Amino acid sequence: MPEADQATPPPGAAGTAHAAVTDRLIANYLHQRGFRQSEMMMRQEAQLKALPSELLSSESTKVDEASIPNFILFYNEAEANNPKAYEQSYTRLRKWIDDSIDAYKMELRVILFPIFVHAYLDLVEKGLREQALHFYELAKTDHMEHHIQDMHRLSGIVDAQHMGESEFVQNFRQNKYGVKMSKYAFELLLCFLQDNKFMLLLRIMNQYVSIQAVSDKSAAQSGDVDEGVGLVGQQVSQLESFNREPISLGMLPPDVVHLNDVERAITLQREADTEELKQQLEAMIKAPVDPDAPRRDNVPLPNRRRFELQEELDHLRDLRSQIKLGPSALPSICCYTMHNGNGSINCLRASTSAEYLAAGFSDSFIKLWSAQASEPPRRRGNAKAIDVDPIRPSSNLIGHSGPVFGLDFNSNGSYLLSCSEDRTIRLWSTHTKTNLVVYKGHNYPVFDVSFGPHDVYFASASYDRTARLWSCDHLFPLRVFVGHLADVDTVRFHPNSNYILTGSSDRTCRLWDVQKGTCVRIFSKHQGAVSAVAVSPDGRTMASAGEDRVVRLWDLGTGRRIKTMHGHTSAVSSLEFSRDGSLLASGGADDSVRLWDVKRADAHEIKMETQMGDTMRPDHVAAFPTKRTPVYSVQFTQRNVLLALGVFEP
Amino acid sequence: MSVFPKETVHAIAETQGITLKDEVASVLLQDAEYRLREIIHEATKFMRHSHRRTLTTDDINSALSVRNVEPIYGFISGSSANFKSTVHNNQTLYYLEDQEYDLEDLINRPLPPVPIEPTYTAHWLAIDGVQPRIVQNPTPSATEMAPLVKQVLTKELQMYYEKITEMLINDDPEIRALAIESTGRDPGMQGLMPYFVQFVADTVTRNLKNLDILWAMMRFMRALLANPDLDPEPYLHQMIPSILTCIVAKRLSLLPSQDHYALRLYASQLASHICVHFGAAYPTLQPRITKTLLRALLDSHKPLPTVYGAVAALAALGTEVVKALILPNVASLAARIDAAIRTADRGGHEDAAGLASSPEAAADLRHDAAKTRGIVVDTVVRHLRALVRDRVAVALAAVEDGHPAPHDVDRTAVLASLREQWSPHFGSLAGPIFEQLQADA
Repeated sequence: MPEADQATPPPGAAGTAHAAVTDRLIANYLHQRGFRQSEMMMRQEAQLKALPSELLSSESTKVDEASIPNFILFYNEAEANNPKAYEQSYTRLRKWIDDSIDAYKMELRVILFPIFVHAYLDLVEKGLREQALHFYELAKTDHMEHHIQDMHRLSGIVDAQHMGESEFVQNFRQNKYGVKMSKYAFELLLCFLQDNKFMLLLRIMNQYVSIQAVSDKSAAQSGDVDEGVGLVGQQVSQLESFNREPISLGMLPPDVVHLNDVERAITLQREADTEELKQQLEAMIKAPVDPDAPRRDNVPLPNRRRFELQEELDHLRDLRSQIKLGPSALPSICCYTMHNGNGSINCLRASTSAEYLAAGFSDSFIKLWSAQASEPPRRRGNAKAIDVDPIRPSSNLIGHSGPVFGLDFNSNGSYLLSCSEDRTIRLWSTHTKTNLVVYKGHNYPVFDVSFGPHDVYFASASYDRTARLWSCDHLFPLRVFVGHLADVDTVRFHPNSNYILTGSSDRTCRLWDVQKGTCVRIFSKHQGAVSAVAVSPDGRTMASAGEDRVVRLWDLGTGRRIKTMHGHTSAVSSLEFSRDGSLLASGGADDSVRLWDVKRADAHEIKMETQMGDTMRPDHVAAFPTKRTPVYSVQFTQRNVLLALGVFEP
Repeated sequence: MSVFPKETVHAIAETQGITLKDEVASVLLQDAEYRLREIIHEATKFMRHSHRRTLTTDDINSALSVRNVEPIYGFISGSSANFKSTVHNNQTLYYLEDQEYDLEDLINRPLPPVPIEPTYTAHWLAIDGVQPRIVQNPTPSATEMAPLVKQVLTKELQMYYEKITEMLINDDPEIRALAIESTGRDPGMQGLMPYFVQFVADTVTRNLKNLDILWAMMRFMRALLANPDLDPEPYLHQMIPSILTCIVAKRLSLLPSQDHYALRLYASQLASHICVHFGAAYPTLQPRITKTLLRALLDSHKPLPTVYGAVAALAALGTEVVKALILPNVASLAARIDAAIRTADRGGHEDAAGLASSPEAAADLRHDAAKTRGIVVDTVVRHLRALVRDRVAVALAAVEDGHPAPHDVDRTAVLASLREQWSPHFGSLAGPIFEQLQADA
């Protein structure tokens, strides 16, 4: 009876407050049953104010909704006398939700916030300050990310006196908090609450939450507009304030000592293009340092070794011959199509220079092809040249004991990382074709693995809802990033090596600080699991895509969405920015490679449901269909040639 | 709530020799459904990470193993389980057939073939953003092309098209005339041009014996050509065949007695109009038309109306064409006309087309012959007359300039020389032609 409570601020002492509440319950019960006389008597004796008539009428409508007078139904002797009941039931509810099926978890989780708020307010109302504070501390982490402002305001309310004065509390107490969930999830929730006799929670739900059970599950998910969710006139999610934490996204300042070394070596070696190389180095040394660049020693990197010089030169030459791309200058795409896979190829990856090609099989092995051993595709050559010898020399890397889910080469292609259902990550040498290290740490299948920009660190994403940071020379993880509510599906490094980006089945992406191990950005607007993420080479923007077929572009600094890009007709499995950051390539299960214009602003983000299929949005630059070949991976080489890897489905 | 009926739980319990209360069954059912959903959901994760679109038994087993449940053995991924159905107590039940194998047989059986080694091919999916047309790339499908055209046409244009085409084949000549008048002036029809041209082509081929419709089509075509706001150039190659059909077709009317000759003349004028106006842009246009016409003219098996049309159209194309193509062939044409007249006189049995087998047919044939003879004579006379006029004019001009007068400065002399030159080539028609020319004087 919120209105009644507010009309008469309860006395300060806890015991009398509780008695007054009980008295009022009884009075209301009598009123409800029509025992007018007894009610009058009761009220007089207990010195309770009679309820204003208009409040009564609104009261009765609420009761109608509940169908049985709720104050009797939800009155539980055990809970009523136990101030810890709120905390206990909340904790159990949270645990139950966390353990439930991912598909419903997101829907169910929404209910936690209003329940928490009202349970906390109830505690405060009863004057149980200690318990309220304890409860707040306990549940704080659950809501800090999405409701940071509300949480701060709530933490200030520790006295029942404040409640009557605070508009914020009034808003919560007087309005119903809207929640949308699918029918099945709703039934699950009700069953759980009733089976466990969480009458306190049921009462809160009944009184302060209006649940809209949507028959179709997809309809519940497609709530891109948060219509009817949360309190009226209030933003449902306060992610933006969470995403305000300062981060340094700039490029690492140049390693001047190393570059000088390279320059000296070039002078000694007298290469044919010494002048150009020197100019390039000069430009790199003098390049202005980004104001928000992290310190070079923030994430320790080892010193460069001498034998990398040749690679350094090749890299410089590649940079020089990099093709400038844009919406009007599209890249060439080389497509590697796997045959005879029989549905057992799980993942594909090529080394940066397309020197090696690796395929992970569900039969636990990895097949490694050295593209140099066979003829590279000719640019304008005849088709025959390609088909001459379909059997190419390959080697099987055997070691895993479960399906291989993820692969990644280091920047020069000499090492290969693989992760598998057998909970391990393995490091292979592509030269000796042997397993070098087994990294054990995850307790559940590992879904993705990715080398960092300097080949020293790598990150892994796992079913155990964590992403982990590893260093090649340590057998144990250096950081464990905990926070995702469901499996982490994919992981990528930020180019300055200070952050890693993860995509998860909980439909969010998160940016993590490598040094601190905390989450610094959350991106949540996806309507399906995120299966691919990519960070632009300048480190400012990121792209994510997944089951919902939509490619989204985000600003890492502000955490805001830049635009959404429609076009794929099936799940997107891979994303990558071109080396100059002007184009985004995506590959999907709809047998196509698509190119998107990154720079073009989303001028009109109107819902064009009917036209979505047949017209191309202006920022959808091109689509290249393949022949019954779902694209597993798209990668840009140093020179901006796009590699598309897929498995032919006969 | 549940997708499974309660009977399922009862049935399963019975197989274990347990009988359950209804409430117990429903509680069990609820839990079982939840567990099933859970397992399937877990399994789809593994499917997704394997980039597959079908759930396999391996995925289910992976899901079971992360939930610490013993995997289910005996189901192999790749081979689809074959469920069979049977009816039990008026309900359809599905079951898996468990075949019994003889171990001896299994051992003695030859080994299954070794699976083919996985390998890869590489090709260019795009070169500088353009997808090359090679076998490895899919061919752009027709469905992708079709909507392009549809988008161009507005609803109004579509309605206009329907209205006009409807009016054009109307029985009322006035309505037809209205439609033609409208298309001759309307400024916004460029988008409809391909459809109109296609419509004409279709209508002409379907109404080869309906003179009225054919007239309407030719007039409509003329209106399209005359409309100053239309550019028919891209569609000429589609328009020409319809026009040529109306010139040289064997029959253009239901009855031979109908005046299809006028239509042939009209279409000839259209063809000539096109050649004059678009000949510069399409250098191959006139040669193509003349080639078709000449073939019609020279083929001795073609009926006389075709010859008539060909002569008329060639005549319309100008003096050079007449001089080069008609004059040398007058003799053979004369022979064919004579032969036709003879056939008609005999009752018309020998005609190649087999048409003139009755007195009426004979009369028609005679009529055709007269008409053809008329146009040939006419064409030649007109050509020669112009020639005579030119020569006389040239001679007179020369005299005025003070040159000595050539011997054939006067008309009769010119005529005489022409007669001497051409008479042998004109065969039986030489008489009438020169008589007419004499009469001019």
